[in-house]
Amino acid sequence: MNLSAILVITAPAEVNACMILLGDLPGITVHHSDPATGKIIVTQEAESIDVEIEGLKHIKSLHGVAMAEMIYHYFEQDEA
Amino acid sequence: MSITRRDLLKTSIAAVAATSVGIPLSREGHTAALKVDEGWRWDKGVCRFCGVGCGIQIATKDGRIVATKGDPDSPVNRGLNCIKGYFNGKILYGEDRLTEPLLRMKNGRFDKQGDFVPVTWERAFDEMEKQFKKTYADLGPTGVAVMGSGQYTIQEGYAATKLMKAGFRSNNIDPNARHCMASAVAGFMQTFGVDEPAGNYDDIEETDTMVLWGANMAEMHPILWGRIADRRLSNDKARIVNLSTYSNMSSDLADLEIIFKPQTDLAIQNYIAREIIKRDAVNWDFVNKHCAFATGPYDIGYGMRDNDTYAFDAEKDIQAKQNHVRLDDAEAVAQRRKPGERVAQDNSKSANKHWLIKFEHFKQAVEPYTLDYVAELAKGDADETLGQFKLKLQQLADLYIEAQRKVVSFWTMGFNQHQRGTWVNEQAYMNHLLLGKQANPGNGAFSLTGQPSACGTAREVGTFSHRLPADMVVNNAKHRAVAEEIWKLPSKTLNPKVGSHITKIMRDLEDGTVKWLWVQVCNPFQGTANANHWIKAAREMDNFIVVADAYPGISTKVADLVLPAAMIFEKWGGYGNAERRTQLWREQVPPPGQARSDVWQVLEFSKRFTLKEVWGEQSIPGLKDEEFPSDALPDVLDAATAMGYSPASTLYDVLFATAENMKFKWPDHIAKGHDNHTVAHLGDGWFVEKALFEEYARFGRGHAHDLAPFDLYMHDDVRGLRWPVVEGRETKWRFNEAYDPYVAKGSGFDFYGPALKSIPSGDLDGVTDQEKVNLAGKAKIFFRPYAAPVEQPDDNYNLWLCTGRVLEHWHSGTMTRRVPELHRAVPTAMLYMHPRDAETSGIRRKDVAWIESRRGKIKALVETHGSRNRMPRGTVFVPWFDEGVFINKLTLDTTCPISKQTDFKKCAVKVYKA
Repeated sequence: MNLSAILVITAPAEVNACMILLGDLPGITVHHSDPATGKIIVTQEAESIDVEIEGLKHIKSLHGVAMAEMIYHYFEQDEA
Repeated sequence: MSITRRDLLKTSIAAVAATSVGIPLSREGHTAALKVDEGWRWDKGVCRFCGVGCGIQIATKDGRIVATKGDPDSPVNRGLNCIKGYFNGKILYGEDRLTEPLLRMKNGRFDKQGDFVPVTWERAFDEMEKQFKKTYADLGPTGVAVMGSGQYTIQEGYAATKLMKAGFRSNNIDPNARHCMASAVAGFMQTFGVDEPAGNYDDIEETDTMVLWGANMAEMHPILWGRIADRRLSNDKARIVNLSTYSNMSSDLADLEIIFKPQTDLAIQNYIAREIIKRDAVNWDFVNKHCAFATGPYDIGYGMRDNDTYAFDAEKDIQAKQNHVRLDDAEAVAQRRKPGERVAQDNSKSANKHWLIKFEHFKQAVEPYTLDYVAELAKGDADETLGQFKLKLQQLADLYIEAQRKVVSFWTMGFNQHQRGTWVNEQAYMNHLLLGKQANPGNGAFSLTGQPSACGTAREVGTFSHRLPADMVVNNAKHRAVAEEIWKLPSKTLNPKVGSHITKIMRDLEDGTVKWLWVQVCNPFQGTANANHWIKAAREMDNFIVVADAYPGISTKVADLVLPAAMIFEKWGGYGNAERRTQLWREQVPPPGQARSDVWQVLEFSKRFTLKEVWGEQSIPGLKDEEFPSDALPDVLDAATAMGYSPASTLYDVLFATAENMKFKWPDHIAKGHDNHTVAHLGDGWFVEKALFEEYARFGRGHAHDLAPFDLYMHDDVRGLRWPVVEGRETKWRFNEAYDPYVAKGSGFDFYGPALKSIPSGDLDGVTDQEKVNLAGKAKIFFRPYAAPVEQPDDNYNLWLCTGRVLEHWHSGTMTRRVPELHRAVPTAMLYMHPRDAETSGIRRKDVAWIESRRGKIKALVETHGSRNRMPRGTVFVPWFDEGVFINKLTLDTTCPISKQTDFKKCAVKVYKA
């Protein structure tokens, strides 16, 4: 089980639409947003780094997403 | 994990993340942020991967890393990590981590055909020593070699280079960074007389125009790309140009995309220079005060072997061009010669010589690079019209030339991995200098790097076959004298003959002139072009190959002895990034099993040699230096005795555990309770990494390479410092009086680099006056012509092959491909090609295809509709991270003749259905 926090940046006008898209993704929880700057913070829960990376790449490809990068990564000890 | 704990963690890390990027939080959010890390120890570090040098924070608990986060206080990445950041913690914990030395054995003895058997460190070093001493006795210092890396920590690179150069008197140490930025180094040295960029990442927020030349930053340097995207989106005037041989992710945000034919960047830059002159846009005030014009020979070969003794039959036609080239039509125009002329490559061993020319010569030289000529030559997308392409070239020139517009040019491997890599680097400076848009906030040609300490270690420490620390070189008597004084060596201990560069070391293994090799922090048997030769040299010849690594890869597979290495946060270390920022870190967790730091390995090995074994007379074939005996280094043992050493002293005592170094005691308060396994296993109680850092820093202090004291980098509020650090202050823009304390007062700009500043004069064809002119304080504006690639597609091998990295895998993948699931994400490296090329080759998307060059063939899965790389007709791309798609079996080991950096970006292949 891995958890990561990801910053998503979108045009300010598209923050709400983008949050809806993000909220529909598996493992993704939308936590915070700042309509003034178009910044959204989501967390991603995933079984492995592989899934995390695919998930982040998917977020990057979403309509309206200008940028998405990882900020915080927590990983459990039992996964090799 | 319980639901409650998981939800708490999610809430907490989301709150921490929001805070670090300035999203306002409620009071509850703040409270949540505090809860996540109870019982964890946080400390600062730097990302393990590319040359950007992002700051990270590392949390440990019970001796394991449990979390990492982008460091919000890092001015580089401001709290963000790219996808590779996911690996920073996890790379330590792969299932197949190497945790004990492995020696090929049969019946209890070393046997080259034996299987790997776990052995003790003692047994490993015994065999290493025995094999070393046998080769050293037979061949002398030139028979042994070390391959290092731009991933060496500063201290590792320093220890290895000192052992090789001062101890073993061998200059055969060279990093894989040779493959990464040697052309950038040569460009800096020839242009400015000193290595590394004038500017820094702050240029992104200062500039209006960001021009990418062979740098797919969106995929390779995502954090900098994020800053570029911010700048573009927040400034109406800002523009991005992406010049590349294929369309890539950086094109998505670019205002202007220019797809050019491989190697024609040389012509495009000369077109810009011609436009600058034609439009009367030369900044004469700047040029007259701070620049001089120069050029060099054109007939410099392609950095291949000059004979075909070891060539496969199919390679011989290309190899022959090392000695003679027949000029094609475009080259003839570019070089003012006749098409079809057969040109002997007489300057292949003196490619770096150059001389002063007049502006009139320069103007005459760029005159053939008209829009018509360059567009016809350079257009790289068959589906674009010549008219469209011409318009783009004009727009590019407009952006550079517009008077009030600031411009930064970025480049990485497209320029550096180039048969004329030094030339094309110099051309970038050519245009910035002509315009006076250099060494100013928001203006400058900025060479990026691919490895985390390509600058900090490979370049600054000087782990190259020709270098010493702080930009000094082995073939300069004054530089050797400085090193011999700091290192307390007898005069003439250091070897004045430049050693073998990394590709040459491979060739030396093949032809028997090197027989003992130690590979550190890299995977050169996967990473060196034309790999079939080197695999054979390692496995089928009587060579002894030692590979220190953390994970198995192709290099460990072909090794005779494998040494388990500690990884980044399992040791103390330091890296220097692409903007001259030096960052140090503490050991965070212990290495697993018997794994040990490379510093420990070097120091332990040095204990096995006494001075009398290495400092007697040594044969150096080909050494010609008036101060040295012919083909030999003198016996310096008497001089050593006079200095207080004994012939029985070990290299450990003389080079490392010196009285001065032993003064740096361990434990040290700066450690804040962190361990040091290197010190613990050496058992001598001195703080190895701090002592070596301070000794190394003596080379640069007072010489425009000033590093701060070790302890300053460790301060909680320091996130690395950009050298020169003078009186505790970093330098943001070098050569600019407003920022750089080394600039002469009143000069405005001062290109004070001392190297190669005294040169003869001549015209475009050669030297006409041998009297040296002193160019102190000036930068050189080089004219360099277009030269055709040595291998080009033909009827048989009809496609260009370009290789490179991908976003989520780093280099040869030994660290980023550890988790088994990853193989499903990108099961094998893809062959990216245009759908019409695939159709012509009789293959379809997802087919398995053979890719074949003159040097070998491999299979890969075909991708014709990739979202990341969109190939023009005639060019295919294969990334090199996947050892199962061993693309370097196909690539050509041609190098820039000046920098000796391999061109991995262009050779000819054919593709057909498997």
